[in-house]
Amino acid sequence: MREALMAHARDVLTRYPDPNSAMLPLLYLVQEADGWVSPAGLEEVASFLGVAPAVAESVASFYTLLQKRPVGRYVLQVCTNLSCSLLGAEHLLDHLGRKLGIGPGETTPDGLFTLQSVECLAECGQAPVLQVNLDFHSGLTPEKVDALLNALRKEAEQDV
Amino acid sequence: MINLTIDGRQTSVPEGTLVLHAARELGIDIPTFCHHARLLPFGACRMCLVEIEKAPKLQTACTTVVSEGMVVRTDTEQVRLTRQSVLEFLLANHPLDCPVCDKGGECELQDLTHRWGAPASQFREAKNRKGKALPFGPFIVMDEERCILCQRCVRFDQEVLGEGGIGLMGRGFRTRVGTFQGRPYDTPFSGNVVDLCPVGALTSRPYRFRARPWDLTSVASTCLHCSVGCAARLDARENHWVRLRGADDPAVNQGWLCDRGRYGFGFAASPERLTAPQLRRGGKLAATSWEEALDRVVQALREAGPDRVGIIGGGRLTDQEAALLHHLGRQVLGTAHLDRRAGRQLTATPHLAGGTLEDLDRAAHIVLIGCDPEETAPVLALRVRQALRRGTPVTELGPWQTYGPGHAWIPPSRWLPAVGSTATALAGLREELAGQDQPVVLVWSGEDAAVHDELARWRQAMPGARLLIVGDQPNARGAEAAGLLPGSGGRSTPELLAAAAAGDLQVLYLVGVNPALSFPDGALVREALEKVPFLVVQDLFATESARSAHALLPVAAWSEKTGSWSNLEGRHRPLAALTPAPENLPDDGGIFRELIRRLGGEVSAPLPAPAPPAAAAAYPLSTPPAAEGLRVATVELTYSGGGTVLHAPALSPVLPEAWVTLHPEEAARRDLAPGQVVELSCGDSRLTLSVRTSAQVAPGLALVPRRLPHSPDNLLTEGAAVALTPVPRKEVLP
Ligand code: SF4
Ligand code: SF4
Ligand code: FES
Ligand code: FES
Repeated sequence: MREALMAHARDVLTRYPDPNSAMLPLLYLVQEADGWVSPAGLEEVASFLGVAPAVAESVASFYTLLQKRPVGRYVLQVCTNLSCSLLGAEHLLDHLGRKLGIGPGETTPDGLFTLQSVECLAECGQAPVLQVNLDFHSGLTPEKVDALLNALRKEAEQDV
Repeated sequence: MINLTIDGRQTSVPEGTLVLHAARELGIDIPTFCHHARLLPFGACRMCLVEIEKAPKLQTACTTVVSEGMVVRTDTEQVRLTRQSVLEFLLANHPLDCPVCDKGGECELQDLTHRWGAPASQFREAKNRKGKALPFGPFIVMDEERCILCQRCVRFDQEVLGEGGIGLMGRGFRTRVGTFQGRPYDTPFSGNVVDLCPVGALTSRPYRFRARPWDLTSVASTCLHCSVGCAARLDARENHWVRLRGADDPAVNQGWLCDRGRYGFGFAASPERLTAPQLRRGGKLAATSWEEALDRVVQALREAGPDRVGIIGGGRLTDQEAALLHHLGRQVLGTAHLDRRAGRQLTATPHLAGGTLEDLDRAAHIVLIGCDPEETAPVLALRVRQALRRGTPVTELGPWQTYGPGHAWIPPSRWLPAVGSTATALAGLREELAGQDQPVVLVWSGEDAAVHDELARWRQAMPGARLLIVGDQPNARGAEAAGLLPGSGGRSTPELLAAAAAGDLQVLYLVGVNPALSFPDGALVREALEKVPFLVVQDLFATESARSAHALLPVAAWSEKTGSWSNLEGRHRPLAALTPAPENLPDDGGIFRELIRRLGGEVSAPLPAPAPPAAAAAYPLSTPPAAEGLRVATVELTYSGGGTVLHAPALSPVLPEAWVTLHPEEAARRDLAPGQVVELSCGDSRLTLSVRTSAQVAPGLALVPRRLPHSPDNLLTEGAAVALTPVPRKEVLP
């Protein structure tokens, strides 16, 4: 594993009685460093834990919060599970797609947004719901979504 | 014992028994998919749900352990409907391509649907689409749509192999079984997942579309590719051998096979097989009649007289054939010059207490002596892997380390005199391990006379120790029991070859051996085969040793004859004929009988028992003088060899290229990178090899694979100094 991650990873390891339990936090560590969990990142974590890379891929592939392909700065994960769908999640997804000019699973050419549809985000009471990186936005309407996109664009501009 | 009631019937079973097994013992069948007798309880498929009194919901019989007073019902309406629903959900997205599925006719999903399924499906939606006919390694094809996610394959890979090469990828209805990044499933045991898969998701490439199960004829037999002797079922369609599957012999292979055994059967139908006897006429081999060929051989044997005849071979015969060969040699021809050995192995018969494969499961310590069971006895190695996982200490003595860092490795050897010999290291270990009350199991390649002597000392010091010798031929042990070793005054294989080279031998008779490739002194064996006035070769193929033969006698393959043989434990292994031999070829035994008859002998049944084999007779191999720099060591690989392996088309993707493996430091010192092509020179011999590096090879060694027809290692002298010269790229391109 890379030197820069090593100290962190060792610290993560001390928190679990079974080193394999550290798989998820370690994968997340790699994602924080690289922006996504690449095949090389999977191999890195696997060899650190002394397991086969297929085991790491199996774990990573289960979680939509772990990105298996490079993504934009903001990952918009729209819930399309039952409650959200009943309250218009599909329209929301279409709306976002039109606004951004991309379909689910794609990233805008400027690298700012990635659009994804995901399963239940456990916020059904406030459906429809989407998640921007780790932040929840619930009770959404097309107008709220437009405002959200503007805010994110502004934030990105200010950071430049 | 625990008392319980199943479907109104009282029973009592040992504590810890699963409800499933308690029911089966009563003859009550509970349907299952994910359960497998050789894998841990798992509970993935829900097919085995049953009612248990006081439990709020149905319980999985395959994971629920019996308890006192338990009342189980498997015959209720609720259970029946549950089975129906489980099947309905499985079938909702199942492609139902049974007519073109290899598994159709022997598919657990078909069978259980037939027995328990609903008459019609309620699903009207489009089916979930996944990958079809995806390559899943050199031998396997994956159909993701047929997979029912029982995870038998994944569990086998984790529990039995301990590799973790396959996993469930994704989640929900997109879940599929896969390898890391879709790379080939790369293990020498890959085919077992095909046997395990209850449906047609994982199928064997060589068997694809070759047969329907109801057209097959099968025999219960054993794999004769190595000295483990795994139980197997052989299947033929219209007299063509199309498949070999594992059978569960608890003491031997527990159902598992290695890929060499499973996919190495194509040799029997190879167009390269010899189908007619040949005699040398005017410097050339030409086909002839059996009558003439046998007459010529008999004439040559008669003319030579007992002292100028030598017979080498026997380790590929059945026990019965080996006894006939012994009779032919000893009684009828009256020669003592018989030796089954044609390679480096001195002995196949343990003079220390002989062990069993099951001894590996209870060993206190396992010692591997110059032996890599992963390559030469793969299914035995599965027990070593299990032992390692249980924490049994394993010590390896040899020029390379198989089981990786973290396990004891003494890289001593006759190759590196400075470190001390293998025997010296073994003596050290004997002192260290003495006094253990639990058995130490030694697994040995049977090579190196000094090790042989040291093992005699082990017998004194540790009567509880057990020895397994991994042979270079499957029935080496049976051949030795039949007396196919030089008798008193008899010549051993090296002596026979030396006599032939010196003009002191008239007839050399090779039976199922290819010393041109396997005998360690390549120069001597080549000269001997060239010079001997009459060379008889009895084999399936025109091997390297057959090039200068005067008589070539083709024989039936092991799948074409019936008999038995002895594996490395000395255990009786049955062989059953699956298909007739091409052109009505006789088996080896048939040829021996005919020769005996023509030589005026008699085959009295039963044959007189041979004297017990003498402990390995001298089999001197030269040790080169100490030298500076790199020295050659050789390693036997699973796919080494020029006969059955080479002529099994399915194995071609995995046949090894010629390589030389160096410790990374040795490579760096010489400025050599992995993949680079080098010329390895040793005395007058040269081999062109590609460089590999591994920290699991002792520094100071150049490790070269044995018995590759395109790169014969016996042109090199083991232990001799070698030089490596990089070959510029353009020279190696055609
Ligand atoms: S591939 Fe076969 S064995 Fe593996 S999970 Fe799917 S159905 Fe089970
Ligand atoms: S371990 Fe040996 S006997 Fe068993 S399948 Fe492999 S080659 Fe055949
Ligand atoms: S269904 Fe959308 S958050 Fe649960
Ligand atoms: S057989 Fe019991 S859950 Fe699969």
